[in-house]
Amino acid sequence: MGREIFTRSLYRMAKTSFDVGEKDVTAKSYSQAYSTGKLDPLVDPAGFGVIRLSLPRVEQISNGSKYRLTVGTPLPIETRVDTTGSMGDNVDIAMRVLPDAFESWTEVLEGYDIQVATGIFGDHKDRFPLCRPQFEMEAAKIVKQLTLMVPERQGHDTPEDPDIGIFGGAYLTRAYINRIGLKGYDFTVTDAPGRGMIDQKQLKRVFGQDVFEKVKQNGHKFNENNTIDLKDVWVDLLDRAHAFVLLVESSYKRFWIEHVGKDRVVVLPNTEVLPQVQAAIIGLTEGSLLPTDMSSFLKKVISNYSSREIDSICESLINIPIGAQAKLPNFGKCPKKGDIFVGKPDVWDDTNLWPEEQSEEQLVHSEENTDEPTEKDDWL
Amino acid sequence: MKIVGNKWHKTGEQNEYQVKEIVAENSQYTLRRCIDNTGRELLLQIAADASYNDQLSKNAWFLTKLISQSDKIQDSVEATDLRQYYNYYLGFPELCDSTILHDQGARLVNVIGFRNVHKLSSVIPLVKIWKHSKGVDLPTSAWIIGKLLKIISFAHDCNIKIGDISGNNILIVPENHYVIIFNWGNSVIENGGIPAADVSNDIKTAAKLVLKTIIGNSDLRINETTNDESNSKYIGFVESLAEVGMSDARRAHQQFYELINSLCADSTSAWQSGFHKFTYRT
Repeated sequence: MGREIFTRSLYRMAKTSFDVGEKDVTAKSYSQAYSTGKLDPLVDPAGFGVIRLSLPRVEQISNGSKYRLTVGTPLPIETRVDTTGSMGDNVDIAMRVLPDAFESWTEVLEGYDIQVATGIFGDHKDRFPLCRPQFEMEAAKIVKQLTLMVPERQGHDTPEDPDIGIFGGAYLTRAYINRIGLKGYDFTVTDAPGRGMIDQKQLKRVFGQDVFEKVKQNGHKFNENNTIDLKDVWVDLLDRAHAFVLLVESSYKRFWIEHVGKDRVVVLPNTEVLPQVQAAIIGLTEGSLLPTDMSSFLKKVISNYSSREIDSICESLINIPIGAQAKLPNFGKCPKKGDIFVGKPDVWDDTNLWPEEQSEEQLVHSEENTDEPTEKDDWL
Repeated sequence: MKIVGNKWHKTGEQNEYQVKEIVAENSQYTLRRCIDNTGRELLLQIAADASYNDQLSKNAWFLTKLISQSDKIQDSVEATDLRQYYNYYLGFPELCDSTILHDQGARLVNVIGFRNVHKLSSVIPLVKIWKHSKGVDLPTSAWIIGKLLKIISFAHDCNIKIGDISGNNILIVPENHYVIIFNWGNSVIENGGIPAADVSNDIKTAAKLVLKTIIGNSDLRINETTNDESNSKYIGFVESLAEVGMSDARRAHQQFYELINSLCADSTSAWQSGFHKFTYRT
């Protein structure tokens, strides 16, 4: 499955290869979608089996009898970005800040295989209310998927429809990280309220007529006849992801606090700093970034913000469930690059989820540190 | 970071801390007494394990924010006579240091001091005062609740909702009349201001704690602690705060001191202005 990780040079090569400019990166896809009436399958929520997968990258070794983890435990980061009205340029921004995103995330996610799905949403009256890509790790694939988005940039009414994408995040994702007892990350970026209720007809329109079959296939019990409340969907989303709403305009904070909880809403000054704020959230949740280091981290990764602006972001971040990933029982037990599995990990029947052997690098490290902390060493 | 024998010091730093006995602990952290190189006694707040580092780091973050806000106010009134009335910094601990000890299970440690306090034995948790058989006298309770309302109103002005107002988390320094909210790790920032209901709850909680401090470990009911009209007015006000609360902590603080001043001005009352020594009821 490969071992390539995202780098700035690969990103630049991908942009050249796909002839991506600084603006209107989705222009071709937009006209194609409107002439065909269809999204590219890679970003069509109903495409590629509907359920998005985040899987470990492994290579066969020992004459095919075993599998080695090539990069690390896959960590899915799904982001759905509002592209209605004033948020219409967000795909261009997402493309431009992609290298900053990876660099910031890598700083707080050492050892993980970062897998990204950055999609967009609009209004249910749009032709394409949601574009949901695959989880990808390689620059070329991520760049390509961004160019395939179709932001319709319409305003319509004030509530928008991130709820549909949140439904996908909750019920139509199968991630290895969940099978080993940890969680991925899910971000909804908007300046508007949602609707609070999800229309089942919209779900069938966006995800296909068999969406509820897919939900059941993914292990969720669902009563199709009930009205779907966003609050219930959010609770289920939190079972598999550390989920947050990043609100660009704070006028609608109350709506989001009521539906997702005060500790899940972070006010964002603008989408240009989305990756850095996401990195701070991830770092705080993983425990790799402490609250006392928030300010210095943000000052380092956001070069043109004043101390006051940084403090304002920190005041929004301090309320999130800090250390939530670090408190999960299997935190610290994630398979590492080079670990050996006796069979290919399967996220559907939960077989071969844990490695049988550690990587050689880890064994050497263990041998060098044979002394367990004694009572005397750990006396504080 | 290096631990050398009984001494723990930061490599390359001036500060050296001599680690002493455990003074308290809960599921999240242990508190140890330590002594710095000036002989001042401090507390080491040590995470129980690395998974609680975030809670201690949050505490450190809030203490840093509080002192920053307090310093701004002090600087603005430094050249005036008002400076003695602010000094909000006395209502929360001083964060002297915060770091991770990688050779101690990667646990976070906060080094915490109390301003103008050299010996930890002069700092008493409110829960300990409750164990006294008779509780404190009313003027003592008055400076406790007055200081509590002051620190609560300051925190609310900083948009900080205090997560833990409890007997375990409130410390008294009797000789200096300090009332300190110790751990701020459960606090929350409310950027639009603290909701009125939460303000009221904080005031109610504080007032209830003070009423308990008046009774102590006795079986008395609160109205049995006095038969004096002035005292009854005071008790009535505190009870009202405990039952009904108030939507504005600053107003509660102001009204409280208006009442105290009126009681002191009343020639028929035993209440007197000026420093009242910490006193248990007899």
